[in-house]
Amino acid sequence: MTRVTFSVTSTADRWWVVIEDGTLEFEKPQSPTSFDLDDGKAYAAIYYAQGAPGNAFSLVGKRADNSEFVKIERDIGSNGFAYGHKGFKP
Amino acid sequence: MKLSNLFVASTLLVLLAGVASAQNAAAPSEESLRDVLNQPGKTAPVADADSPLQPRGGKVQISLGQDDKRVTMALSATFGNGVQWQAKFSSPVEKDTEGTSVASLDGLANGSKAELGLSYVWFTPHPGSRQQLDAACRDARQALQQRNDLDKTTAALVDGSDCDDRLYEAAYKYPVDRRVLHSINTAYFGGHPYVYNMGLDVGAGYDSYDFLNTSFAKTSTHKTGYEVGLHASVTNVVSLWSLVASIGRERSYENNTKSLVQICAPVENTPAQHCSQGYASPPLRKDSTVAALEWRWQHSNALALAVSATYRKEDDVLGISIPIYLLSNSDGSLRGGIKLGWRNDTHDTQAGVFISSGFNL
Repeated sequence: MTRVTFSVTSTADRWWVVIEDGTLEFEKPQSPTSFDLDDGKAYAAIYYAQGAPGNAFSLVGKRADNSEFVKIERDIGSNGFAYGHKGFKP
Repeated sequence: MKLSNLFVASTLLVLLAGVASAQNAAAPSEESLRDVLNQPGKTAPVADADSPLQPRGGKVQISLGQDDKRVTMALSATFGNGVQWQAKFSSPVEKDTEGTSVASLDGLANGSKAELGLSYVWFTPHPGSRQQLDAACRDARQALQQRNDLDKTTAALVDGSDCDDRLYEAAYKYPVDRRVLHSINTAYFGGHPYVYNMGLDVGAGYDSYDFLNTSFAKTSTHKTGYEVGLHASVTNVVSLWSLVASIGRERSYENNTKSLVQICAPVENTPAQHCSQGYASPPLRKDSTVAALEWRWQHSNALALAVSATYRKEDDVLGISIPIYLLSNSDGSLRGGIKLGWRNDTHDTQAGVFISSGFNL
């Protein structure tokens, strides 16, 4: 197991993050949030954000040694929502 | 714009123990729609992590804009556990102009206004496994790759590596095989892509009214109205529509049109007369219950629609408003279109162009 920390920086009204398989999740304003994940196992970070068009959403995952293993950066689209996922190995 | 009125609205909000979010913009303009839409966005969130306005667990966002011939200033913030507050101060751009919508039954719409809303938002993420998510992304990409009519933006999304709503929206809009759409919906939402919102709204409006006193001299009085209400909404974040219902109780004031008189006086040393019109009695108080239902749907940056019906119980008045958003600047922060309105008591209809600050579900 390895200790990882997820940080979200966003001006969105609401956001939610789920680490596959859905057993680990956190939402605004729970940032940063730390979990123990299996070392080297493949995971996915799924995010959902709601807010005004153009609101920024950034999710960064770091290991205990501060090395980065996942990063998502985007703006909320014209419909006021953003969602997606990205795979990672801690 | 009348900054003094905006100040009055701000003061009203403080009286309400105030707080503030922003819906912006709209008014026919001398400028061409495209010129205006190509200006940089006018809505500017200005909060950051070090904001002194940051409440416990949330950040304050401030925006300025214009909405239905009103200038607005809005603040919003989210607390933990899905609780949001928002407040808006607004004032008419120009006094004595008709509102942009004949269908509006808002009795406080003609003066300065402060609104405060408290909402609870909930959404339960239902993502599938990583394999399901990856498969949905791969299938959407492959299905779009098979089309030869993609625009440049969509083609760039298909060639990229991001797995997100921008790619999936393209899959919905072109569209691709329904099985692919179903797998996207299931992978990210477990087939239940809904965000719910319910809350409480209060507001106060301040306006001045001219009328003739007993000696037929023009005089003015100021009145403060109020409104309290509840709202609830559901938004489908995949097919991009929302349904909003609200009901509220309102106390407002309006000129007593039955007392409208014309007074004429001879102009000294001439055979002419000087005549002026005025109301022979102070404004009337009006208590009413107003219910509204609105359906909003976004097809694309080039087309969005909002259909709303508002009903006032006391005098059985129904207003229908249909703004159609047709043009957008590059980031969607400003939009323009045409607006249709109708109400059943006067049978007034309205059609005109508007410019607004983007479309939100």
